[in-house]
Amino acid sequence: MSMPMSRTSASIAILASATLLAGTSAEANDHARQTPTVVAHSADVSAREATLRITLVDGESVTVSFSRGEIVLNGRTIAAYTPGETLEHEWRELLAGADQVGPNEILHAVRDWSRENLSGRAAEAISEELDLVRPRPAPPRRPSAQRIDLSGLDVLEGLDALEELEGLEALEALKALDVDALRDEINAQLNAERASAAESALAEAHDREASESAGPSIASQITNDFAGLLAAFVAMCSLGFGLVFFASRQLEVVADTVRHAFWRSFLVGLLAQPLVIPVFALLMLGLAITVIGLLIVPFAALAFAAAALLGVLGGYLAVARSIGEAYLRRRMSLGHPVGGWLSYRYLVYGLVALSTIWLPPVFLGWAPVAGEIFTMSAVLLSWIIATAGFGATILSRAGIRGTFAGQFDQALSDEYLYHTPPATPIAREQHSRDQT
Amino acid sequence: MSPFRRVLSTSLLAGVCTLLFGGLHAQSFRTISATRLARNEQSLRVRVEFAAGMLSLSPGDSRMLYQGEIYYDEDSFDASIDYDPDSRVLYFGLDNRDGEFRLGRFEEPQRLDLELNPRIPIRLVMELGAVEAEIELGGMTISDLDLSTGAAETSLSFSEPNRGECRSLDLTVAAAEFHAKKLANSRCETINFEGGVGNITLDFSGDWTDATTMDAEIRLGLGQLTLRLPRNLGVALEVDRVLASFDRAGFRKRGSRYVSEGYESASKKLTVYIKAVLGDIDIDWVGR
Repeated sequence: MSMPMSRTSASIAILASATLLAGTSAEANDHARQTPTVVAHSADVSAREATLRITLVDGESVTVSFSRGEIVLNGRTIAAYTPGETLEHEWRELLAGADQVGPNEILHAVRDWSRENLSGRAAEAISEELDLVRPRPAPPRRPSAQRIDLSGLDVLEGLDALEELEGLEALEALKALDVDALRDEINAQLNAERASAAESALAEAHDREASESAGPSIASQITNDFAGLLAAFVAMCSLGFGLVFFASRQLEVVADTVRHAFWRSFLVGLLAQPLVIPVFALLMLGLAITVIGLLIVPFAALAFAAAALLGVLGGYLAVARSIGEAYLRRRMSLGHPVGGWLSYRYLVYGLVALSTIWLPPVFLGWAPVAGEIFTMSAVLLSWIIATAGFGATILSRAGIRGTFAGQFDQALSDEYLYHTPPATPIAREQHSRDQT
Repeated sequence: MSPFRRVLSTSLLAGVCTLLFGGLHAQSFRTISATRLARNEQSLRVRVEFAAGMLSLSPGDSRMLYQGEIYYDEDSFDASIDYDPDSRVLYFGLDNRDGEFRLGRFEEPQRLDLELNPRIPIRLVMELGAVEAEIELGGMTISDLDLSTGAAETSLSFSEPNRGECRSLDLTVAAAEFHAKKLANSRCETINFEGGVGNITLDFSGDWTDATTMDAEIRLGLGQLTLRLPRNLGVALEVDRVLASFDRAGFRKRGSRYVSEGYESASKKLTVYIKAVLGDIDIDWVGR
């Protein structure tokens, strides 16, 4: 890196020397350089206005607009016109072809048009503004044969060539040097180097992205996803078995609540979700303002997080249990044998049913567009179920309050159990109400 | 009729009327255009976003950096043209106003016409919505192309060889008809294609003089893919498909790949990796 820097310094020194030698010729061009050059133009034509903007090399611009009966030059109203008449039509026609010509042509065209069609103050104002602008000259000619031609040389090679010269020869060469060409050449090569560095960085980033995005084959992707689904199923089963073993009645109550008041549970869950964090903050604040409470803040935070997680997961498992129960009760009512361990069986059947939601994204998730739709659908359905479960957990006070069941539907009640006491807490509750 | 049904039927009728006649209000069209001279630019980054209408992109006058025009319904859409001379980034965009999408027919199609300098290396990014697009990049200097389309009918063509080296061509097509012609002329090292639903043609003919090898990765959903392959080319296909048919005429199985006749001895080789589901993959051999 140090070598090119020193070369660059050398080039600047040579450029400075050369600039001194070439000073006289530069002065001759001062006037031309001070006159801004036009580099671009844009037009905007709508029912309300027709605007032309001519952009100069220094970033400034000249704007002429016909808008609502006023001719506006650089934001200043210079004349009035009658909308819909010939003058406006001609201006619009001029702008209609603006995208077909270059900035120099449009500059000439506007200049001529204003002279021909405008009169008095408006024509003078536009002419004054446009006369300060000059068309962009043709590209600079290549240095002549008598001068040092750097156009084909690398800058460093050019400097090497200059370094080899000595004494009078070097001075003659410097005198003959075309400073503008050298400056242009250095700028061009500098830009090229920068662009090349930027392109390399982009290419590396692109390659990195490509290597990261190069996914596994379809089969391995499906296998991985299916294994993930199976693992999630096993984890939920384990958690569910724990709940059935330790809190069977509460799980039943939540499941009954979901079954009998699904949409009410969903709405409660939906409303409760955004309140979780504010309630947590209030709880922490309430504890923090008392001395004893301050001591139990960490435990309370953990307990709250665990309760929230259990609320959502427990609710989800309760929905699964409810689905499994509904299915198995139908089978039982048709006389099919279903075996024992019913509470566990309900849960497993329900979790299998809920897992099927994820089968389309697992098997077709890699497909463009369709895969994303499947995944989004599965996420949405799972969220609805978890929200309803969470709401049911709240409504039934985590299964402690067994009285919330909405309208009890006996259609799925136990035809084969009519001799036995009602099977679920809510059915029992309903049964006792019916009795009284 | 119950009150509920009355409300429902009235709402349905109102909805149908809105769909049928909602689009027939008077439209106010606007034209914006911009032209800029080329001034020693070493490279250019161009981003085109076009929500709806007809699009045309082609090489232009080499003295100009760009020349373009957008004609659009200003009541429903916002358009802008922007160029930053410092970063050399050009933006042509048309988007729905406030994210709204209006149903109904346009009295006149909106359109975007853009011509770009053929000699300056261009990194081109295009995002098209419901668009009928004619994109001609032949004879230009495309260093990268990233094209994504929505419900579009797109024709991408390299009728002449690219003037410079092209690193990659990334094409993403959602639900569309997409035809890419003479992709060999792009002189891109890699081509990545991702298609959802539609009728897709990828034509790998063109000038293979300089491009001796090319890699393409194609991911296809529910579409019909036609690969147009020159006969004098050595082609290797690796196909990973589920419920998708594959016309293997002209290929023989070699390990996990399908290779064309004379693949080993061919001086120009194309390697295509295809992932497809529920689609058809057809091969069309062209040339002698």
